[in-house]
Amino acid sequence: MKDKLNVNQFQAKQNRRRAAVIEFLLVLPALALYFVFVVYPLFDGIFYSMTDWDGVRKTFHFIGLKNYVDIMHDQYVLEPLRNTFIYAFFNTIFLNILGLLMAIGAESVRRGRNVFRALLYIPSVLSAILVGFVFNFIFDKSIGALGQKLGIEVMANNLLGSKSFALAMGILVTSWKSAGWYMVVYIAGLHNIDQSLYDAASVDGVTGWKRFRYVTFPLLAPSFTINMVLAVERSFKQYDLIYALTGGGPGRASELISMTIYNESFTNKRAGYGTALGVILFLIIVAITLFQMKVLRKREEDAR
Amino acid sequence: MKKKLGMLVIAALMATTICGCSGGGQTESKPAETQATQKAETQAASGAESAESTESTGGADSGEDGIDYSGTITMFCGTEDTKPFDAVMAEYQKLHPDVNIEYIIWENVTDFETMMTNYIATNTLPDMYRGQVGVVQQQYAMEGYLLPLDDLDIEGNLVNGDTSLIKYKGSLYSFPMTIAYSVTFCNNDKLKELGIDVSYENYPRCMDEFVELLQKCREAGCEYPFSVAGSDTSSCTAWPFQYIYQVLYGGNPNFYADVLSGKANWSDPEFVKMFEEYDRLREYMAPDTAAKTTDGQKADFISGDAIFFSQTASSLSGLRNLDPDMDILMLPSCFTEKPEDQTLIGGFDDGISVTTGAKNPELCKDFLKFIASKEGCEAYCSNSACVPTVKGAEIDSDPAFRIILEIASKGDLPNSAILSRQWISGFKELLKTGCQNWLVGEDPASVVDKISTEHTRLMDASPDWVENFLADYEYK
Repeated sequence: MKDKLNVNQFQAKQNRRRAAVIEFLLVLPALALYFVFVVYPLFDGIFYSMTDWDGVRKTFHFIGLKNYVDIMHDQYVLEPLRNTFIYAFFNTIFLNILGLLMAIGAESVRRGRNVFRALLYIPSVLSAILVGFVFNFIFDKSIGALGQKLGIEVMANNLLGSKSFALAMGILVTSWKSAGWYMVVYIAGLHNIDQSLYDAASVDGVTGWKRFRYVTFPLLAPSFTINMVLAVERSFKQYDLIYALTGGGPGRASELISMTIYNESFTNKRAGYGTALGVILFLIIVAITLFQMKVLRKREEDAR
Repeated sequence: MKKKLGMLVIAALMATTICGCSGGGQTESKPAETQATQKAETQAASGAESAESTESTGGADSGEDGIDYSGTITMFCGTEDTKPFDAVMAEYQKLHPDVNIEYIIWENVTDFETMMTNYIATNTLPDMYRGQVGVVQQQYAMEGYLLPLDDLDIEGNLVNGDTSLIKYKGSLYSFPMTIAYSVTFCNNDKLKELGIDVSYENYPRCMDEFVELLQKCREAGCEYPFSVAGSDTSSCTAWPFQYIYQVLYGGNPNFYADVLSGKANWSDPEFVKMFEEYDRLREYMAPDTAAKTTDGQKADFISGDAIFFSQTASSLSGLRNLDPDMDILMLPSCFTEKPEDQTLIGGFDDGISVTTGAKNPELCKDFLKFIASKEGCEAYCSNSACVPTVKGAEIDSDPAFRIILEIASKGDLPNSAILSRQWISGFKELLKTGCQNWLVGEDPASVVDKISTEHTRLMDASPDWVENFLADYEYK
């Protein structure tokens, strides 16, 4: 009897081991791709960030942390970094407010809800480069003409040509383009809220703002977490739209750090330095993401 | 802890794209290419001669050597280049029917350099490319990314001109397809409409005359006759480059070498003067200049809202695509103080090279030899707004060139060769940034200080480049 039990235990153990091997083999292709396309470039990037490679020469020197030390007091990096923080901060706020308002608005429409949703979502599937160029034209012609009619000089002379407004217009256009994506996540969150909670709130006489404040918003916490994290991460990595819209100008007024990485790496032929900037941006995103996750997850738990 | 680790992995996933984009490189060496052995034989920088020369060259002998080439050539070139290359290929296919060409397009010089850097980093160089002469040619040649073209014996086909930027250590690495003139474009239709006549006899010879012409245009009804596309690097830097070639180098042809060696500085009064002089043009530029795109500039030019802008002659193709019948004039830049100091800015451009990544180098070289022949050059230039560089090549030049070519053929103006296209990497961008700062109202002293500081930063970052430039530089 004891022997039979041992045999069964052994077989179960064997089965578990076999299952583990199969699982590992199933995961292996994805893991291999992950190592080739994620882990290797990451560490390769970190390596190149410690070199003086210009991106063209076949030779380069290992210079340790010199690039990182130089970045710390490089005003041509600090200004775009400041712009990026401003851009990311306002973008995150606007995208979430707009996304949430659009989601609530779209859900409250009784007829043609899908059409309404689609219309709000369309800008987010457009090419960022295309949106940048189209808005460039809009700011030049349509908004310019409006500015002339209203007698607002800065608007009449193209807001993108103003150091004070170029970055703000970048935030505005990004919000217009991307809010639809955040709306979809909020719509999914709204659908996950148990209707009975709204019924109970109605019985208690809770309607309108209070219903949103005490029922909807707390229960949207998981969607809020996703949207906040992704909005920050995408804002820090933004490149194409601002490139097409302002090119980082006038001067460096709307230059984001991703554009600086590109310019240093390819235009200034400082691939090592540009990569060091990329690594710093990576660390910034990691730090902010971890902080957000910690705070927002706690909020999610509190809401349960 | 697990959660944190998971989050870290997610964050790593998100940010890897950034690191991956700016990182990566070619760590393995390519096979060593033929070392250039010839001693440098820089021709006199006396200016490119007009291709009106009647001296003939040997015809294309492709196909007569008994080799039957086949395959597809990958050509990395600008948007406007496909038409002339198609025309050349159509001629070439009469000799080698099984040869085809496919294109990878770059939009501007920055694109070109960026994409080439990527190709180099990923070891995927295209077979051939057409790029601005002098920007990076010598660096690519030095690093062994280009094939020397000496065995093709095509240098003798070129009209007289400065070949220093298409050669490295005496070997030819690029064949120029045009003589690029850096000019002031003029909408002559609009001028006629305003009752203003500009011709070979009375084109503006100095800054005062140009400002006078702009004022005339204003009085006749065009409020903002001068245009700059402030948001575009090429447009925003075309006019300061014209000033640098014409005025700054007029005073000191070694200015850039002096900057690199510390004897001169971008904040010196002679460069500050450029912005002071341009202040005189500012009132003739639209208030939205800082945000103007090249498309907006072209639209303004064609509609007659603006009449003049500074650019290289190669921009003519784009204008012709938009309005084939427009009466356009190209005038020599006129930013000098005195008429007698005016020069014609021009030099070999649109260089075609064969890379070491060419899959079939013999085919590519044979095709280049055909392009560099009289027939090939005529086919190329007849389908583009190019001034032929091959002796004996005759085409019906675009009428927009009429004043420029007359000046060049009569030798009225000394030539400001575009010798200094050898700028430190990033200079063009920093000049753009400086000009944009000036356009939005920053004072010239502050603008040049920033240009000077950032240029020093670039020099500090590339000491080898500075050292090599000064070592190879021939003081004038």
